[in-house]
Amino acid sequence: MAAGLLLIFLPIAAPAGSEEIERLTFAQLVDSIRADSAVTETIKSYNGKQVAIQGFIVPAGAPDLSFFLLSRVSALGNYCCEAPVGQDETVYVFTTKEVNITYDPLRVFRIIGVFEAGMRTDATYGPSLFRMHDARVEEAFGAKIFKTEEFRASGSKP
Amino acid sequence: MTIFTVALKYLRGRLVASTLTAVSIALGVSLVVASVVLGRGIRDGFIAGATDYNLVVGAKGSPTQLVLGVIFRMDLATPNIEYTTYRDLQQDPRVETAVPIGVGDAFRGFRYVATNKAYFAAFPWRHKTFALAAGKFFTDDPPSKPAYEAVLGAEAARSTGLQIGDRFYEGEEMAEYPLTVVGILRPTHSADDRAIFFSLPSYWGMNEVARGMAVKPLTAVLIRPKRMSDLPSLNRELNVATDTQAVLPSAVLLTIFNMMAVAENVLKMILAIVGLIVLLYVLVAMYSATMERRREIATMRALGARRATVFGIILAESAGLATVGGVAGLLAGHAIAYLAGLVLGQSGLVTNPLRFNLFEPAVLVSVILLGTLAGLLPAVLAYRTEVAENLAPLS
Repeated sequence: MAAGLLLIFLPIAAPAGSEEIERLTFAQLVDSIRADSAVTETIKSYNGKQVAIQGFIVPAGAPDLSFFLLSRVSALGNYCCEAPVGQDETVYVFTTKEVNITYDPLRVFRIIGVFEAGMRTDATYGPSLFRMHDARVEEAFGAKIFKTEEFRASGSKP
Repeated sequence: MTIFTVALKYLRGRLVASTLTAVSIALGVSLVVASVVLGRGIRDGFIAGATDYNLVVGAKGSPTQLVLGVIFRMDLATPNIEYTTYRDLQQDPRVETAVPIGVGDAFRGFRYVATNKAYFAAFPWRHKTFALAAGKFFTDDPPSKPAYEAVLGAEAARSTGLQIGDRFYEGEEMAEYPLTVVGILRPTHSADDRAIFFSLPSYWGMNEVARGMAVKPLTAVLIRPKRMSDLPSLNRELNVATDTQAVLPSAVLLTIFNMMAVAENVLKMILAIVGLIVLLYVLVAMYSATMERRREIATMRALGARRATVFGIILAESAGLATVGGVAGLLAGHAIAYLAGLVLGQSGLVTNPLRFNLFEPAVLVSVILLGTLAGLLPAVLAYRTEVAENLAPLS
């Protein structure tokens, strides 16, 4: 949950050299959803632009990670307190180049790719609200998961 | 005579030593190529053999065992779950397709896989296609009247020699329940080529314990959700339940890749040391050869050969040995990977050891450069050979 809160409320400065790439947060994605799975024009204005989104990788497709889900919360932490999120906080990510990472379900990754918002159905992966194409994956240095003592020190209740 | 023809003549003149040097280079290169090709092949084999389904549901236990057992049939089957788990998932509004799987015994090492027709269905989202080379798929028989019809994977049919209409069983206790071959699949280049498929009622009918069970057993259920974004919630619910676990097969394979990467890094260090040893061996061999023929070099110099020409001959010899060794090493590396691939194929993992990798030209160029570099010191020695000193009478 802590990591989820971190992802929503703490926009992290982009690393040097990638200042041009705008960062989108899951909070912005959730806020953009309207009735009947429509999305706001504001979020649509990012369509076709390269953006960066940070989150947890859910390897829902092939193990070469040519497709995966990017989620606000880790999908594979079965004993954590926060329930998995749905379509509103999930980005469908499509990569074209080989993804060479050390996969860790509990690590936050930074995905940079061409953004697309709006309901669309893919023949292979079904319907989705948010997508990223031609994406590349980077480790999100600085987006650490709170340790318990840090969480308590911050005054929050788990 | 050019530098290259003189170098070739020298190499031929000490054929045994030259061959041994080239063989040692070839061995070093083949180790590097075989390990990289095989490592890549194993990874690609897992990726190609992965299921199109997004979630595997089975009994509590090791996620790796569940995926390797059910998808790749490389491990023992996990304990059973109840058939009602499949029924519940089939009725779950988030689930598009659920396929029941029962993994049982084997015939001559080819695993029995009990399922229904959905396993072979050509859904629009599926990459994998199943086609019959002969016969038909088994019938969806009722539990009360199992048909004991079997469909063989391509490799299972080829290795066992079973034909349509043949009846077979393994173990005396199975003599009462022989399976009849009704179909043979075309190759899928996955673990399914080594499987023997039949219906779930036949699976239950063959097992004495399952025959008496009110709720029939299953090994696993393969799930395709309607929305991919529902996978995390399905995964969580089935894992929080006390009797099932749910696994994303790609997550398990990526964890295996992570472990392989650690082993590959250790292997890289060992190979770097092997490369260094081979380099030193070439250096020593070329140095000895140069020392042995200082008198010949002095004669060449006395007959008008320039220092640069002598220098070039030694370097050309080293480059020649490195080229021959490098090319032979590339070929031998693929041959080793091919043999290892045959062994892996028997355990259910299909690799392509003949596939050319982009790193191979880089390896060859590096070997030639390093081999030439190893000849640099002997070449300098030859360059500095004094005519007067080395043409003195031997006695």
